Amino acid sequence: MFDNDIAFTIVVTTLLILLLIAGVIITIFLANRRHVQQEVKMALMQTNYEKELRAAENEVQEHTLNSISRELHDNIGQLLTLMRIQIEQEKLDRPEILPNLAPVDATLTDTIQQVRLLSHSLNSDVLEQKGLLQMVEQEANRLRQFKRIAIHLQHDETEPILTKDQRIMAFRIFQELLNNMLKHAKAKNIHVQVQAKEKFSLLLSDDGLGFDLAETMRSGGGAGIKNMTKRAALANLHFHIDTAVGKGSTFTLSETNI
Amino acid sequence: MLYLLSVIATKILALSIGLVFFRHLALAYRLAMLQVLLGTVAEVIGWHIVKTYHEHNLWLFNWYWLAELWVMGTTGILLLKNRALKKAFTGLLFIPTVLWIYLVSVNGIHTHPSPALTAIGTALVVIFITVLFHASFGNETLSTQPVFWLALSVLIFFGGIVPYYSMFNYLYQTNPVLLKKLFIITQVLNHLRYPIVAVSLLLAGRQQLATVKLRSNV
Repeated sequence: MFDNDIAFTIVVTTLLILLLIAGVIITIFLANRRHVQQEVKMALMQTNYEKELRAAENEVQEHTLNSISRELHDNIGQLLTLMRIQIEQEKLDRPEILPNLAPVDATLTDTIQQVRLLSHSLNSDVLEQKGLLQMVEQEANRLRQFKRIAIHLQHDETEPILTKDQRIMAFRIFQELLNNMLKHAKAKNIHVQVQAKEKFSLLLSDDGLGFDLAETMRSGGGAGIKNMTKRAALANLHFHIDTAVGKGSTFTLSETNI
Repeated sequence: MLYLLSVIATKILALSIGLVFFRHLALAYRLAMLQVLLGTVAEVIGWHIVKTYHEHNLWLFNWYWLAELWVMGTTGILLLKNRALKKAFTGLLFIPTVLWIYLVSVNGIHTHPSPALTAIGTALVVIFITVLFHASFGNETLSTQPVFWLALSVLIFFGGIVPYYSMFNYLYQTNPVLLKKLFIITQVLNHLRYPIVAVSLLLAGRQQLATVKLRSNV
């Protein structure tokens, strides 16, 4: 009986202590669950806030770009056209200076063409009318005229099925990437590939310097990359970078699977 | 014998998982692995002493418990971020140590230092409840964190053995048969402990591996 009492006491005390520990663990567990739920809620609110902020920024940017585009087309474009009329008039009045005016005339034609293309590339309404594929082609042609770099364009002749926001975002990111390649990459060739038959993807690659992506992000640089990634995500697009020092860079913009 | 084999199997399981991820494990989890290794070695040598030399192995386990206090105590301290708590718990580890030294020097190494073991169990339970409490403020669900499973293993084992070990010396002298019968408590707790440690090492390894992959991708 005495032995049983001791055994009973030890076993019951063990069970009671384990029960107490289970109680403590369950309490901590429930507190953690509440904490995690609250954190998720806060993170969601923060994401939504950032999304709204970025959407507003994009709207302002598009508005500004449209204004600049209109100014280029309506103001500078008109002035250049007026200049052309004046030169034509001069040619009629003084035929002897015709050979001298020929190079000026050619430059003016180029300038008018460049201003028109630039105006179009900045205007999202034109993008809506012409579609992404044609605008990418036009932008590539515009930059080819500078003759600083060879731009090779490949596509499957299919206009991507995208929402208006996606189309604008994809085109703006494309423009920013091209601009970055021209400014920093020191590349000789840029390859642009647009695919839309199965799933939309826009690929840009260069044979330039490339860079250490991890190091760039660690050192606090890469603000443009972060910005493009966030803007792409806002339009449900996936932005991927593949680069290494001395091996050029490849940027891919594609539709997310969701 | 069956108990020994099955408990060693659970320990080998935990060790194997730990070894797979060893390169990626944080120091705290490497120390937890060291405890499993020490436990396995102590079990095998203890069994060998009894079977081959027909001698008591209590001296071996007395040293093992002291080593376990410091290995698991340091593990718990490493898992904490608060400096004041780290210092306080390092101080706390000295209480059972001093008690162990006192009891062993008075009664000899071949006697079970029951109060010291109760103090060891209580100290580790206090440290790992604090570890668990701090982990609950993280952004992840507790059950997906390796620290939760490691703390769970310690709390279940040391919480459970305190009553048995506190009566160990008394029963050893008055009723060794009952002591042997009640050894089942340690057996059950040991069988629960090491599979939980294995889960903890698995999660710790996978988490670290995921972090390494993420870093190399960015």
